[in-house]
Amino acid sequence: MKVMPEIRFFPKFVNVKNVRNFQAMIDALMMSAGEGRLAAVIGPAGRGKTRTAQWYAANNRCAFLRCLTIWRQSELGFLQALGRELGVKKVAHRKDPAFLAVMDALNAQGGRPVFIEEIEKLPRLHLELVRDLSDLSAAPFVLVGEDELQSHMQQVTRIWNRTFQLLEFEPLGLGDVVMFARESAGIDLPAEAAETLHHDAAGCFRVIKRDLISLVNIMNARGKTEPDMEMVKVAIKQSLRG
Amino acid sequence: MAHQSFRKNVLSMALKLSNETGEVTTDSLSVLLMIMSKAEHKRMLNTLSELAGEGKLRRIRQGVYGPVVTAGNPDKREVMWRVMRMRRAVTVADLQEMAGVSSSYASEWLELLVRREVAVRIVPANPKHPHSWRLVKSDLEMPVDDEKAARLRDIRRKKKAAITGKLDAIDTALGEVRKILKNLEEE
Repeated sequence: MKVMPEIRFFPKFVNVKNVRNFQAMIDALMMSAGEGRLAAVIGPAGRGKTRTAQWYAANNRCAFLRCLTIWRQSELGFLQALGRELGVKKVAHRKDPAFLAVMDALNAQGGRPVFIEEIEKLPRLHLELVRDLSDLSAAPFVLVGEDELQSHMQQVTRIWNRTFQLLEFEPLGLGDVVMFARESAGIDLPAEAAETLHHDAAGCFRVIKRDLISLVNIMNARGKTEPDMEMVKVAIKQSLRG
Repeated sequence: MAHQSFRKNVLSMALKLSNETGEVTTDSLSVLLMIMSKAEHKRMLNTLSELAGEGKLRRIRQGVYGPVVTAGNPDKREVMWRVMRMRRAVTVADLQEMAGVSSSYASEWLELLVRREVAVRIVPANPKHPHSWRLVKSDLEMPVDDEKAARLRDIRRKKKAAITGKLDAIDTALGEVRKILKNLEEE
Protein backbone atom coordinates (compact mmCIF):
# COMPACT_ATOMS: atom_id res chain seq x y z
CA MET A 1 0.00 0.00 0.00
CA LYS A 2 1.34 3.38 -1.02
CA VAL A 3 1.69 5.80 1.90
CA MET A 4 0.96 9.42 1.01
CA PRO A 5 3.48 11.93 2.38
CA GLU A 6 2.01 14.03 5.15
CA ILE A 7 1.36 17.68 4.30
CA ARG A 8 2.70 19.99 6.97
CA PHE A 9 1.52 23.48 7.72
CA PHE A 10 4.67 25.46 8.35
CA PRO A 11 4.21 28.71 10.29
CA LYS A 12 5.85 31.14 7.92
CA PHE A 13 5.63 34.87 7.50
CA VAL A 14 4.31 35.32 3.98
CA ASN A 15 4.84 38.58 2.09
CA VAL A 16 1.27 39.14 1.02
CA LYS A 17 0.26 42.36 -0.73
CA ASN A 18 -0.40 44.28 2.50
CA VAL A 19 3.07 43.38 3.79
CA ARG A 20 4.68 44.56 0.57
CA ASN A 21 2.73 47.83 0.76
CA PHE A 22 3.80 48.19 4.39
CA GLN A 23 7.48 47.82 3.50
CA ALA A 24 7.12 50.32 0.66
CA MET A 25 5.48 52.75 3.08
CA ILE A 26 8.33 52.44 5.60
CA ASP A 27 10.88 52.94 2.81
CA ALA A 28 9.08 56.09 1.69
CA LEU A 29 8.89 57.32 5.28
CA MET A 30 12.61 56.81 5.77
CA MET A 31 13.36 58.96 2.73
CA SER A 32 12.35 62.05 4.71
CA ALA A 33 14.97 61.39 7.38
CA GLY A 34 15.94 64.42 9.41
CA GLU A 35 12.50 65.75 10.22
CA GLY A 36 9.74 64.67 12.56
CA ARG A 37 7.06 62.70 10.78
CA LEU A 38 4.22 60.33 11.40
CA ALA A 39 2.65 57.51 9.44
CA ALA A 40 -0.62 55.73 10.03
CA VAL A 41 -1.56 52.12 9.31
CA ILE A 42 -5.28 51.57 9.52
CA GLY A 43 -7.79 48.84 8.80
CA PRO A 44 -10.34 46.59 10.49
CA ALA A 45 -9.28 43.80 12.86
CA GLY A 46 -7.94 40.60 11.32
CA ARG A 47 -6.15 42.08 8.33
CA GLY A 48 -2.65 41.52 9.77
CA LYS A 49 -1.67 45.10 10.75
CA THR A 50 -0.32 44.22 14.18
CA ARG A 51 1.33 41.04 12.98
CA THR A 52 3.11 42.91 10.18
CA ALA A 53 4.19 45.79 12.42
CA GLN A 54 5.49 43.37 15.07
CA TRP A 55 7.33 41.31 12.47
CA TYR A 56 8.99 44.44 11.07
CA ALA A 57 9.80 45.83 14.53
CA ALA A 58 11.25 42.55 15.80
CA ASN A 59 13.45 42.06 12.75
CA ASN A 60 14.67 45.67 12.58
CA ARG A 61 15.28 46.47 16.26
CA CYS A 62 12.39 48.93 16.40
CA ALA A 63 10.36 49.75 19.48
CA PHE A 64 6.76 48.58 19.46
CA LEU A 65 4.29 49.78 22.06
CA ARG A 66 0.69 48.78 22.50
CA CYS A 67 -1.30 51.50 24.27
CA LEU A 68 -3.19 50.54 27.40
CA THR A 69 -6.44 52.08 28.54
CA ILE A 70 -4.93 52.64 31.99
CA TRP A 71 -2.80 55.42 30.48
CA ARG A 72 -5.89 57.51 29.72
CA GLN A 73 -5.55 59.43 32.95
CA SER A 74 -1.90 60.39 32.65
CA GLU A 75 0.87 60.49 30.10
CA LEU A 76 3.47 59.25 32.59
CA GLY A 77 2.63 55.57 32.17
CA PHE A 78 2.80 55.97 28.40
CA LEU A 79 6.20 57.69 28.58
CA GLN A 80 7.58 55.11 31.01
CA ALA A 81 6.46 52.20 28.84
CA LEU A 82 7.84 53.85 25.70
CA GLY A 83 11.12 54.46 27.53
CA ARG A 84 11.34 50.79 28.53
CA GLU A 85 10.73 49.68 24.93
CA LEU A 86 13.46 52.06 23.78
CA GLY A 87 15.90 50.53 26.24
CA VAL A 88 15.88 53.21 28.97
CA LYS A 89 17.47 51.47 31.96
CA LYS A 90 16.26 53.71 34.75
CA VAL A 91 12.64 54.69 34.33
CA ALA A 92 11.82 58.17 35.71
CA HIS A 93 8.82 58.66 37.98
CA ARG A 94 7.94 62.16 36.84
CA LYS A 95 6.75 63.34 33.44
CA ASP A 96 9.55 65.76 32.59
CA PRO A 97 12.49 63.41 33.19
CA ALA A 98 10.57 60.54 31.60
CA PHE A 99 10.02 62.69 28.48
CA LEU A 100 13.70 63.65 28.37
CA ALA A 101 14.79 60.03 28.82
CA VAL A 102 12.59 59.01 25.88
CA MET A 103 14.03 61.87 23.81
CA ASP A 104 17.59 60.73 24.55
CA ALA A 105 16.72 57.15 23.68
CA LEU A 106 15.11 58.23 20.40
CA ASN A 107 18.17 60.29 19.49
CA ALA A 108 20.42 57.33 20.16
CA GLN A 109 18.50 54.80 18.10
CA GLY A 110 19.54 56.09 14.69
CA GLY A 111 16.22 57.18 13.21
CA ARG A 112 14.54 53.77 13.31
CA PRO A 113 10.75 53.96 13.26
CA VAL A 114 8.78 53.58 16.49
CA PHE A 115 5.49 51.68 16.29
CA ILE A 116 2.60 52.71 18.53
CA GLU A 117 -0.53 50.59 18.45
CA GLU A 118 -4.07 51.61 19.39
CA ILE A 119 -3.29 55.20 20.35
CA GLU A 120 -6.85 56.06 19.31
CA LYS A 121 -7.94 54.56 22.66
CA LEU A 122 -6.16 57.38 24.46
CA PRO A 123 -7.02 61.11 24.67
CA ARG A 124 -5.67 63.43 21.99
CA LEU A 125 -3.04 64.73 24.40
CA HIS A 126 -1.08 61.51 23.92
CA LEU A 127 -1.10 62.10 20.19
CA GLU A 128 0.28 65.60 20.80
CA LEU A 129 2.98 64.01 22.93
CA VAL A 130 3.96 61.72 20.05
CA ARG A 131 4.08 64.75 17.75
CA ASP A 132 6.39 66.57 20.19
CA LEU A 133 8.66 63.55 20.47
CA SER A 134 8.81 63.15 16.72
CA ASP A 135 9.39 66.87 16.09
CA LEU A 136 12.15 67.22 18.66
CA SER A 137 13.97 63.99 17.91
CA ALA A 138 13.20 63.70 14.18
CA ALA A 139 12.29 60.05 14.80
CA PRO A 140 9.52 58.62 12.61
CA PHE A 141 6.48 57.26 14.45
CA VAL A 142 4.16 54.74 12.84
CA LEU A 143 0.71 54.64 14.43
CA VAL A 144 -1.19 51.40 13.97
CA GLY A 145 -4.90 51.22 14.65
CA GLU A 146 -8.40 50.66 13.42
CA ASP A 147 -10.26 53.02 11.10
CA GLU A 148 -11.05 55.61 13.80
CA LEU A 149 -7.32 56.34 14.12
CA GLN A 150 -7.51 58.40 10.93
CA SER A 151 -10.28 60.69 12.22
CA HIS A 152 -8.52 60.90 15.59
CA MET A 153 -5.41 62.22 13.82
CA GLN A 154 -7.31 64.44 11.41
CA GLN A 155 -8.95 66.32 14.28
CA VAL A 156 -5.65 68.05 14.98
CA THR A 157 -4.32 69.82 11.91
CA ARG A 158 -0.72 69.99 13.15
CA ILE A 159 -0.70 66.21 13.58
CA TRP A 160 -2.35 65.44 10.27
CA ASN A 161 0.11 67.85 8.57
CA ARG A 162 3.00 65.75 9.79
CA THR A 163 1.44 62.50 8.65
CA PHE A 164 3.53 61.69 5.61
CA GLN A 165 2.11 58.24 4.89
CA LEU A 166 -1.26 56.60 5.32
CA LEU A 167 -1.66 52.91 4.56
CA GLU A 168 -4.95 51.11 4.69
CA PHE A 169 -4.72 47.34 5.08
CA GLU A 170 -6.97 45.89 2.43
CA PRO A 171 -8.85 42.58 2.61
CA LEU A 172 -6.63 39.68 1.59
CA GLY A 173 -6.89 39.12 -2.15
CA LEU A 174 -7.40 35.87 -4.02
CA GLY A 175 -3.74 35.91 -5.06
CA ASP A 176 -2.74 36.27 -1.41
CA VAL A 177 -4.76 33.16 -0.48
CA VAL A 178 -3.11 31.11 -3.22
CA MET A 179 0.34 32.41 -2.24
CA PHE A 180 -0.26 31.76 1.46
CA ALA A 181 -1.37 28.15 0.80
CA ARG A 182 1.61 27.51 -1.43
CA GLU A 183 4.26 29.02 0.85
CA SER A 184 3.01 27.78 4.21
CA ALA A 185 1.68 24.33 3.27
CA GLY A 186 3.03 23.68 -0.20
CA ILE A 187 -0.50 23.25 -1.58
CA ASP A 188 -1.51 24.48 -4.99
CA LEU A 189 -5.13 25.41 -4.45
CA PRO A 190 -7.43 24.82 -7.42
CA ALA A 191 -9.09 28.08 -8.55
CA GLU A 192 -12.54 27.14 -7.25
CA ALA A 193 -11.20 26.09 -3.84
CA ALA A 194 -9.17 29.30 -3.52
CA GLU A 195 -12.20 31.38 -4.44
CA THR A 196 -14.37 29.62 -1.85
CA LEU A 197 -11.79 30.07 0.92
CA HIS A 198 -11.29 33.69 -0.08
CA HIS A 199 -15.00 34.45 -0.24
CA ASP A 200 -15.75 32.77 3.08
CA ALA A 201 -12.97 34.58 4.94
CA ALA A 202 -14.02 38.01 3.64
CA GLY A 203 -10.38 39.07 3.46
CA CYS A 204 -9.62 38.23 7.10
CA PHE A 205 -6.12 36.82 7.49
CA ARG A 206 -6.86 34.94 10.71
CA VAL A 207 -9.85 33.12 9.19
CA ILE A 208 -7.89 32.12 6.10
CA LYS A 209 -5.05 30.76 8.23
CA ARG A 210 -7.48 28.79 10.41
CA ASP A 211 -9.31 27.37 7.38
CA LEU A 212 -6.04 26.37 5.74
CA ILE A 213 -4.85 24.51 8.86
CA SER A 214 -8.16 22.61 8.93
CA LEU A 215 -7.84 21.83 5.23
CA VAL A 216 -4.34 20.43 5.72
CA ASN A 217 -5.60 18.22 8.59
CA ILE A 218 -8.46 16.90 6.44
CA MET A 219 -6.15 16.21 3.50
CA ASN A 220 -3.77 14.28 5.77
CA ALA A 221 -6.62 12.31 7.34
CA ARG A 222 -7.86 11.29 3.89
CA GLY A 223 -4.40 10.71 2.46
CA LYS A 224 -4.88 13.26 -0.33
CA THR A 225 -2.29 15.58 -1.79
CA GLU A 226 -4.74 17.83 -3.60
CA PRO A 227 -7.78 19.44 -2.04
CA ASP A 228 -11.22 19.18 -3.59
CA MET A 229 -14.27 21.35 -3.05
CA GLU A 230 -15.84 18.97 -0.56
CA MET A 231 -12.73 19.08 1.64
CA VAL A 232 -12.66 22.87 1.44
CA LYS A 233 -16.29 23.09 2.54
CA VAL A 234 -15.68 20.71 5.45
CA ALA A 235 -12.61 22.72 6.48
CA ILE A 236 -14.60 25.95 6.51
CA LYS A 237 -17.39 24.31 8.50
CA GLN A 238 -14.95 22.76 10.99
CA SER A 239 -13.04 25.94 11.62
CA LEU A 240 -16.20 27.93 12.14
CA ARG A 241 -17.34 25.40 14.73
CA GLY A 242 -13.95 25.41 16.43
CA MET B 1 31.36 71.07 -9.74
CA ALA B 2 31.98 73.80 -7.16
CA HIS B 3 28.76 72.82 -5.38
CA GLN B 4 29.77 69.15 -5.36
CA SER B 5 33.12 69.87 -3.75
CA PHE B 6 31.48 72.11 -1.13
CA ARG B 7 29.00 69.34 -0.39
CA LYS B 8 31.82 66.81 -0.16
CA ASN B 9 33.71 69.08 2.22
CA VAL B 10 30.67 69.52 4.45
CA LEU B 11 30.01 65.79 4.54
CA SER B 12 33.59 64.72 5.20
CA MET B 13 34.13 67.35 7.90
CA ALA B 14 30.78 66.53 9.57
CA LEU B 15 31.58 62.81 9.54
CA LYS B 16 35.12 63.36 10.79
CA LEU B 17 33.98 65.46 13.74
CA SER B 18 30.92 63.43 14.59
CA ASN B 19 32.85 60.16 14.47
CA GLU B 20 35.06 61.49 17.23
CA THR B 21 32.39 62.90 19.54
CA GLY B 22 29.17 61.30 18.28
CA GLU B 23 27.72 64.61 17.12
CA VAL B 24 28.64 67.93 15.55
CA THR B 25 26.96 71.32 15.85
CA THR B 26 26.37 73.49 12.78
CA ASP B 27 28.28 76.35 14.45
CA SER B 28 31.43 74.33 15.03
CA LEU B 29 31.21 72.95 11.51
CA SER B 30 30.88 76.47 10.15
CA VAL B 31 34.03 77.55 12.00
CA LEU B 32 36.04 74.55 10.83
CA LEU B 33 34.94 75.01 7.23
CA MET B 34 36.09 78.64 7.55
CA ILE B 35 32.74 79.98 6.46
CA MET B 36 32.87 83.76 6.49
CA SER B 37 29.46 84.99 5.34
CA LYS B 38 25.86 84.46 6.35
CA ALA B 39 25.02 83.29 2.83
CA GLU B 40 27.72 80.60 2.98
CA HIS B 41 26.47 79.49 6.39
CA LYS B 42 22.95 79.18 5.00
CA ARG B 43 24.32 77.17 2.09
CA MET B 44 26.02 74.84 4.56
CA LEU B 45 22.77 74.41 6.51
CA ASN B 46 20.91 73.57 3.31
CA THR B 47 23.60 71.07 2.35
CA LEU B 48 23.40 69.41 5.78
CA SER B 49 19.65 69.18 5.45
CA GLU B 50 19.99 67.57 2.02
CA LEU B 51 22.58 65.10 3.33
CA ALA B 52 20.29 64.16 6.21
CA GLY B 53 17.43 63.71 3.76
CA GLU B 54 19.56 61.36 1.68
CA GLY B 55 20.47 59.35 4.77
CA LYS B 56 24.18 60.23 4.64
CA LEU B 57 24.01 62.09 7.95
CA ARG B 58 21.61 61.90 10.88
CA ARG B 59 19.92 64.99 12.28
CA ILE B 60 20.06 64.47 16.04
CA ARG B 61 18.24 67.68 16.97
CA GLN B 62 18.04 71.22 15.70
CA GLY B 63 21.54 72.37 14.74
CA VAL B 64 23.18 69.06 15.67
CA TYR B 65 24.12 66.26 13.27
CA GLY B 66 25.72 62.87 13.68
CA PRO B 67 26.77 59.80 11.68
CA VAL B 68 24.12 57.40 10.46
CA VAL B 69 23.84 54.45 12.79
CA THR B 70 23.84 51.26 10.77
CA ALA B 71 23.25 48.29 12.98
CA GLY B 72 23.20 44.85 11.41
CA ASN B 73 20.14 42.69 11.57
CA PRO B 74 19.42 41.29 15.03
CA ASP B 75 20.19 37.62 15.60
CA LYS B 76 17.35 35.11 15.89
CA ARG B 77 17.40 35.08 19.71
CA GLU B 78 16.99 38.83 19.79
CA VAL B 79 14.10 38.67 17.31
CA MET B 80 12.42 35.98 19.46
CA TRP B 81 12.98 38.05 22.59
CA ARG B 82 11.46 41.13 20.94
CA VAL B 83 8.44 39.14 19.80
CA MET B 84 8.05 37.74 23.31
CA ARG B 85 8.16 41.22 24.83
CA MET B 86 5.66 42.59 22.31
CA ARG B 87 3.14 39.79 22.69
CA ARG B 88 3.76 38.75 26.31
CA ALA B 89 2.56 35.23 25.40
CA VAL B 90 3.71 33.21 22.42
CA THR B 91 3.54 29.73 20.96
CA VAL B 92 6.35 27.90 19.19
CA ALA B 93 4.51 28.55 15.89
CA ASP B 94 4.48 32.31 16.61
CA LEU B 95 8.25 32.33 16.97
CA GLN B 96 8.68 30.19 13.88
CA GLU B 97 6.57 32.63 11.90
CA MET B 98 7.99 35.89 13.25
CA ALA B 99 11.66 34.96 13.64
CA GLY B 100 12.00 32.29 10.93
CA VAL B 101 13.47 29.72 13.33
CA SER B 102 12.92 25.97 13.54
CA SER B 103 10.42 24.57 16.05
CA SER B 104 13.17 22.79 18.00
CA TYR B 105 15.21 25.97 18.32
CA ALA B 106 12.16 27.97 19.43
CA SER B 107 11.21 25.27 21.99
CA GLU B 108 14.74 25.11 23.35
CA TRP B 109 14.87 28.89 23.72
CA LEU B 110 11.46 29.02 25.43
CA GLU B 111 12.55 26.32 27.88
CA LEU B 112 15.61 28.43 28.67
CA LEU B 113 13.24 31.27 29.61
CA VAL B 114 11.31 28.88 31.86
CA ARG B 115 14.53 27.73 33.57
CA ARG B 116 15.49 31.35 34.15
CA GLU B 117 11.99 31.99 35.60
CA VAL B 118 11.39 34.69 33.00
CA ALA B 119 8.46 32.84 31.42
CA VAL B 120 6.03 30.10 32.38
CA ARG B 121 4.64 27.35 30.21
CA ILE B 122 0.85 27.38 29.90
CA VAL B 123 -0.72 23.98 29.22
CA PRO B 124 -4.09 24.47 27.50
CA ALA B 125 -7.21 22.73 28.76
CA ASN B 126 -7.82 21.37 25.28
CA PRO B 127 -5.00 18.91 24.48
CA LYS B 128 -5.37 19.72 20.76
CA HIS B 129 -4.35 23.33 21.34
CA PRO B 130 -0.66 24.23 21.38
CA HIS B 131 1.21 25.10 24.56
CA SER B 132 2.06 28.73 25.07
CA TRP B 133 4.71 30.55 27.06
CA ARG B 134 3.89 33.69 29.01
CA LEU B 135 6.39 36.33 30.03
CA VAL B 136 6.19 36.81 33.78
CA LYS B 137 8.92 39.38 34.32
CA SER B 138 9.28 42.79 32.75
CA ASP B 139 12.23 45.15 32.49
CA LEU B 140 14.73 42.41 31.77
CA GLU B 141 17.69 42.18 29.49
CA MET B 142 17.54 39.38 26.96
CA PRO B 143 18.49 36.16 28.78
CA VAL B 144 21.57 34.54 27.31
CA ASP B 145 22.13 30.81 27.43
CA ASP B 146 25.42 30.81 29.38
CA GLU B 147 25.52 27.02 29.67
CA LYS B 148 25.17 26.59 25.93
CA ALA B 149 27.73 29.33 25.29
CA ALA B 150 30.17 27.54 27.65
CA ARG B 151 29.48 24.25 25.87
CA LEU B 152 30.18 25.85 22.49
CA ARG B 153 33.36 27.48 23.86
CA ASP B 154 34.47 24.07 25.13
CA ILE B 155 33.80 22.46 21.73
CA ARG B 156 35.75 25.24 19.99
CA ARG B 157 38.66 24.83 22.46
CA LYS B 158 38.79 21.06 21.84
CA LYS B 159 38.66 21.57 18.06
CA LYS B 160 41.46 24.13 18.29
CA ALA B 161 43.56 21.74 20.39
CA ALA B 162 42.96 18.91 17.91
CA ILE B 163 43.92 21.10 14.92
CA THR B 164 47.02 22.41 16.76
CA GLY B 165 48.03 18.80 17.53
CA LYS B 166 47.65 17.85 13.88
CA LEU B 167 49.67 20.90 12.77
CA ASP B 168 52.42 19.96 15.24
CA ALA B 169 52.45 16.41 13.84
CA ILE B 170 52.69 17.82 10.29
CA ASP B 171 55.54 20.08 11.44
CA THR B 172 57.43 17.14 12.94
CA ALA B 173 56.88 15.05 9.82
CA LEU B 174 58.09 17.90 7.58
CA GLY B 175 61.17 18.25 9.77
CA GLU B 176 61.93 14.58 9.28
CA VAL B 177 61.40 14.86 5.53
CA ARG B 178 63.79 17.84 5.45
CA LYS B 179 66.35 15.81 7.41
CA ILE B 180 66.06 12.91 4.94
CA LEU B 181 66.42 15.31 2.00
CA LYS B 182 69.49 16.88 3.60
CA ASN B 183 71.03 13.45 4.17
CA LEU B 184 70.32 12.51 0.55
CA GLU B 185 72.07 15.70 -0.67
CA GLU B 186 75.12 14.96 1.54
CA GLU B 187 75.35 11.37 0.28
